[in-house]
Amino acid sequence: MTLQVRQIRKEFITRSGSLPVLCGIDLDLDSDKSLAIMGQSGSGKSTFLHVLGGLDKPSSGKILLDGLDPLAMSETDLAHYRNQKVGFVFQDHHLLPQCTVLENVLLPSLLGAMPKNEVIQLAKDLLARVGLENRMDHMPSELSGGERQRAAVARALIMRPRLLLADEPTGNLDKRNAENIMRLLLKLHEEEKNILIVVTHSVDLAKLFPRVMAMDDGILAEALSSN
Amino acid sequence: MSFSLEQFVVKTARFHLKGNLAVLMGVVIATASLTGALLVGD
Repeated sequence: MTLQVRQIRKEFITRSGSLPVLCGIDLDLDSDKSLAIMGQSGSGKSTFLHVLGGLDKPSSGKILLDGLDPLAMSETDLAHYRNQKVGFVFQDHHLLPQCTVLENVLLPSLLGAMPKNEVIQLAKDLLARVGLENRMDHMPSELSGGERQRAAVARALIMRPRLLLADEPTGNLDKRNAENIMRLLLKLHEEEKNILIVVTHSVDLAKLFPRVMAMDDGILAEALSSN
Repeated sequence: MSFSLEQFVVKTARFHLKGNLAVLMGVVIATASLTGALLVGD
């Protein structure tokens, strides 16, 4: 198994007491497998993704990605882990307005040690694969919503992450663009052979994935199979 | 084409120049007013 998740629990302390959000989640995913997670707002989907990506710490539990335990890491090592091993696509593109599309894609590599020429070529290659080869020198404000999200996908893949997480990446897009982005994520996942986990509200989009799970009140269970 | 951390910092500072200058001017004016008031004892 490449990704192992064991008994992940997360509780938030509120004024009225403890609020359980994740209630003992177990998950195993082999390398090059993809998964869609569905669920109502507030069911814990985003919290789970944030915990998997090292953006948030669980109250208890264990995560292993390629044998690495992000929960046992120091803050410095965890930052390195997030930079090298995890790619994140959010509902909003979060492209920096002062940088061109190509510079936005290159941003994660500024903290890495990859040779500059190599990483610039990789960024251009990724932008070509997401259909933005003619938009590299454009500013984010000059792109459509779908194009911005495609740029965000390219940025998430620049460090060749083992784990690609997407938290409602099509939430701000129309139906046609949403399906295009989801198919693009799946195509790039197959080419890169990474682990892809996508949170979505759309049943139609979830059906594009070979495995679909449902999150309900912090409990993750198999939902349906598109096959 | 090159893109370094230094270039990113300069580009970002330039992009936010107006906002940064406005804050700087505010700090200068507030400091001058308070210092002046203290000097004249008012």
